[in-house]
Order: sequence, then C-alpha cells, then structure tokens
Amino acid sequence: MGVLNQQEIIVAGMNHRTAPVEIREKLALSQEEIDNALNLMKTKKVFKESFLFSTCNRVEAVFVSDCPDEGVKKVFEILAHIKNIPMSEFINCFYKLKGFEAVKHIFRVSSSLDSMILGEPQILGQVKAGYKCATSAGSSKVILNRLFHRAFQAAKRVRTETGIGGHAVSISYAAIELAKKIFGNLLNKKVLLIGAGEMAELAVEHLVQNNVSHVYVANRTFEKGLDLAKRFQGSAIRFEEVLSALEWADIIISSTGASDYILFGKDMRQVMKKRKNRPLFFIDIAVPRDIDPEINKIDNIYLYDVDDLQDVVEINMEERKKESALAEEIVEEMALNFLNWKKSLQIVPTIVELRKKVEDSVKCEILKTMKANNLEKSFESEAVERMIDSICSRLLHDPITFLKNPGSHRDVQSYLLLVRNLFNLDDKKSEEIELTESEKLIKY
Amino acid sequence: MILKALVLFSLSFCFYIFSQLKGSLILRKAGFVFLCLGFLSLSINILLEGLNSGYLPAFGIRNALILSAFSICFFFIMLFIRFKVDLLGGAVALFSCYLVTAALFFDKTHYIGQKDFNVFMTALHVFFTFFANAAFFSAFIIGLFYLVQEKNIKLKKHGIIFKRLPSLEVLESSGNFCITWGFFFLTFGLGIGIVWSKHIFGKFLMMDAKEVWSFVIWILYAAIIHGRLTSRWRGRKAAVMAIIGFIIVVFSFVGINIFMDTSHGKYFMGN
Repeated sequence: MGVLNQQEIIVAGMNHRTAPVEIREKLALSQEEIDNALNLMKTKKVFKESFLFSTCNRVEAVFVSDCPDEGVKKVFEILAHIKNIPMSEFINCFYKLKGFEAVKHIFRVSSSLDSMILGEPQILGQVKAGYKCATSAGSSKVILNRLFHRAFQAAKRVRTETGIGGHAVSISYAAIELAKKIFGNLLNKKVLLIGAGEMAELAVEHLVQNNVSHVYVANRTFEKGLDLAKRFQGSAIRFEEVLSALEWADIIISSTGASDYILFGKDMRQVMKKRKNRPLFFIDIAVPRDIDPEINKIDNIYLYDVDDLQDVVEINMEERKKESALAEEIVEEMALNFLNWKKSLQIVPTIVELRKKVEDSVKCEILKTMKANNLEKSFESEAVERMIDSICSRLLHDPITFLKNPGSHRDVQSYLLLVRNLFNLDDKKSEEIELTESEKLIKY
Repeated sequence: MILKALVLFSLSFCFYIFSQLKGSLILRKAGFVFLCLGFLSLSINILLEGLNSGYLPAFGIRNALILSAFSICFFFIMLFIRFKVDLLGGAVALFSCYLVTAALFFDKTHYIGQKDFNVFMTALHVFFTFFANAAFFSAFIIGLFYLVQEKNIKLKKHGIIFKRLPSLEVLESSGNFCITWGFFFLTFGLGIGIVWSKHIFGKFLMMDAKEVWSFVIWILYAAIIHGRLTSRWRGRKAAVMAIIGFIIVVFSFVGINIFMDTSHGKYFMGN
C-alpha cells in the first residue's frame, strides 16, 4: 500500500514559452519517433504508464511513476537518444510538474488554455491522436486512460460553456467573419484577388473553404495570376480588367505592391450603378493601401484595411482572455475531481468502503428477517453484532488478502478499479469509460 | 385571458433580454415559446369576445389595441417560419406588452354606430389592414436594425450589438419580405374596404382624411417596392424608407383616427 500511495502523475514538457524555436524544431517528434519512444518507455520499470505527444509548439511526456525524478531523467535520456542531441542542450527548457499541477496542466493543454493562440481548436485533436498512439502501444493504462478521457471532457466543457473559441483571432478569419456579417451566406459569392501575398492567399483559402462560388485572380504579371488561380481552381483576369470585374465580384481582397491607390471612390460610384447597388466588401491587406478609404463612404460598400482587421483580432483576443477565467475554473474543478478518483484507487479506502457496503447489506437482511419473526429487540444484542462481523470477515477474507498482495507482476490499481466497479463503490451509473476499462481488465 | 397574455408577453420579454445579455440560445427559445403562448391567449380572447358579444371584436380603442398586438405576433411568427431567425422577438414582446397594457385602460366596446358592420367583409377589411400595419411595424424594426448594423460595419464597431444582430443580407431580405406582404395585405384590405363602402354608404370613397392618408401610404409602399425591384433603393436607403413609411402609418392610424373627423373615427373608434 505504501508503494501505491507514492505513485504520481508526472509531466515533463517544454512549450513555446519555455523553449526557443530552435530547440522546439530539434525536439519535434515524428509519429515513428513517438512510437519508438513509447516502446522504450515501456521497457523501463520506472514508468508504470506513459504518454508522449509532440506538436510544433510543444513536446510533453506524461507518465505514472513512483520515482518522479528518475522518471524525468529517463525521459530526457530517451529524447536525447531518439533525436540524437545532447541532453544539456534542452534540459533547461523543460518544466516538471506532478500531482495536481500535472493534471491541471494536461487539462489546460487539451482545452487550449496553454496554446500560443488561446482557444485554437487543433490542439485537442493533437492530444487525442497522441492518446490513440499511447493506447495502441499499450503504455496508457488505468490512470492515464481516465486522465485523458477526463481531459477531453474538460476541453468539451470549456468549448461549450465558455466563449473561448467564439471569436476570430487571425486576420484572415476576421475577414471571413465580417464577410458573413455582410452577406450572411458566402455560397454563390464571387471573390476577386488583386495581387498576391501570404495573408491574402490565406484569406482566399478560408473563403474557398466557406464555399464561395468562384475565385478570380488579377495580377500585374498575368502568368503569376494564372498559377495562383490554378491553386484555387479559379480563373485569372488581366489587371486592366479589374474595374469591370467589380461589376460581378462580391468580395475583393487586394494585396498589391502598388505605391498609390489602385481603386478610387469616383470609379466606384459608376460601378455601384452597374451592379445595381449589390453590396461589395473590400479587404485591403496591402501596405501601402491599394484602395481609397473614401470608398467606405459609398452606400453598400464596406472597406476594411489591415489595421481595421488587426483591431478586430485584438478585441476578439481580449474577449477570449476574459472567457479563459471561467475556463480555468472548469479545469480546476475537473482536475480536483480526477484527483479524488485517483485517491480512491488506494487499498485502505477501498477495503473500508467494501467492508461497510457488505456490512450494511448483511445488517439490512438480518433486520428484515428478525422483524418478520418479531425478534427485532434481539437485533441490538452483542451476539448478533458478532455474527454480522464474522459473516463480513469470512466473506471478504479472500478478496482482501488478494488485493493486499495480488502478485508482483500484477497491476493492483486495475484490480482496485474492478472491485470498485463490481461493488459500485463510487455509487454512480457505470460510464462508458469504466465499462471499457472493465472490459480491458476482463481480458487481462 | 388578456391578463394572462400580458404576463406571458412580459415573461417573453424578460427571457429575450436575458438571452441577449447572456448570449443564451435556450433563454431565447423560452422567450419565443412564451411569446407564442401570449399570442395563443390573445387569439382565444378575441374569439371568446366575438362569441360572447355576437359582434366582431374590432370596434373601439380597446379592441384596436388587442388586434394590433395579435397582428404583430401573427406576423412575427410568419416571419420566423419563413426565415428561421428569431429577429424581432424582444421588440414584439415589448410592444405587445405595451399594447395589451394600454388596452386594459379602456372599456369593452362591442359595437359603435348605426350601420350594419358586423359581417364577414368588415372582418376581412379589419384583419387585412391590421396585418398590413403589423408587417410595416416589422419592416420598421428591421430597418432600424439594418441601420445600426450597417453603421457598426462601416465604423468598425464590433461590440455586443454587432455580434447579436444578424447579417445585413438577412436583415435586407426579411425587410423585403415584410414590405411585400404588408403591401399585399394593405391592397386587399383597402380593396375590400372600398367595395364594402359602396355597400354601406352608397359610394366607393368618402374622401375623408383617413382614406386620403391610406392612399398616400399605399402609394408610398408601392414606390418602396418599385425602388427595391429596380435596385435603386437597396440597403440603407431601403431601410430609411421602411422607417419613414411606418411613421406615416402610425400617423394615419392613430393621429387621424383620434384628432380628425373621419368615418373610421366615427364608426370604429366612437369619436
């Protein structure tokens, strides 16, 4: 029992806050490398259970061990071995967390509270993929299985109960959200990209994902425009045709290297007549700007430049930060619940609860029988109490002896969980997670 | 029944307000359900009043106010079925509360005047014109929403109102829907009124202020629809026209009936 009490959940990891990009690049693990590392961890006795995942911004090793320091050292050795770099190069970039802090960290990471862009949705998928790897490798067992299922639940709660993922925090997404506020549905809307540039192309990509009907590209070098149009399965037009193209385009993203405006207010009044005043949305990402700001004063034309979009992003980022306070509360509450469950996986509390449950059942049945035979006065007698005590001791002798010493190669915690589920000691309807764990134990 | 309607509209309004503050969909749905229940109790009230008195419940200020609330709720539900967007819930609940509360201050009036109005044609005339007014009221509120949302987008103000209001496209198309249906109801209502006037008074038009202003409203909304169809009045201009249109409707409905000597004031309102 003493040994079991010392089993801790440990996190050894580094992220964008603790490690410079050069180190993160060097330590980023491929799928194959993660599999190899997990297999190596399985061979080390210090790791009872283990999990490893890597993204462009972080590497996290999570394990259950009774020797945390030695475990952390082994993690470093394995990483150094797999990436073939000296330990001294990255060891200072790692944080080591255990117990509540470790659990909270995993929940925060899964809920995207620890991400570079607060609330970004990709991280949960990455953690899930990492967990799938660990279960395939057989390195995640009772504790880590439960930990990650609870982490996914925490992430789901954070996403549904707070507005952390509700506001666009990149310029291209902010532009799409604005377009939706003007046009409602982007289906059947035509996009015209003037010029080129990473941010503009990203915005067009997002628009394509939102099912716009067609993308037109106008570039000073027609051939470049053709190449770009091919990427978006659109069409290229000549740069001189831009003004006439405005008669049918709905969303215009401009990102040319021109030193002066390429579109003026006076031109647009004629264009609006021809397009029967249908709304036009200009996104001017170019610096210096391509589009005369006066255009925004014309009815049914909306113009946003890069600064306007940046302002939107900043406001949204603030909103997300506000929401994160509520998310932190959810994460803390769920981390505490998890630790309570983990504590219940110790022998003494389980035996005490088991004995109480059996004793209550025996007492209840004896009382029923005695009442039926008008013997209830004798129920309080010392002889009956002794009898109840001996029935319980006799019934529970073998299971308790087994739990105290299940054999050196067996996983005590799996048996404890099985006992708790069999006798419903947690007094709740069996959840999916418990069922799957029990199924695993039956196989075991 | 009318008090029950008032309580239901008040609850609906509270739910809508909280839903906007909290951004909660469930509260919004609760607001919608209470509004529908309020509409149901108003409908039952109108039916019972008609059956009990044996007269069409369209005479007197009390009935006019109740019918207005009924028509606004009816058109709101129509709009919801068409667009699946609960655009005006809060405004409709608030305005219905106001109309029903105002109705409580007036006595029940079953019948005014000496002419025989209590027939199907009068009912059609009254209901069609009230539905037209309800549609123009909806267009008015949507027009206000459009102006606010357009200003938010133009001036790059992305606060809570920007987030809560729907897209300009939804506002414009629902505004179109209101004006088109309003014009349809008004045309039928006026047409029936003109024909029925010949039957009751012996001439098609009395040429009093009410009729003249009704004709002005009909021309105005015909012009708005024409402007929208030819795309001259789109977006902001269309929204402004919808607002101006409804202000004239209110003037015609309330101002003329109360302050001027008209056949409607005499026979319907008891002036």
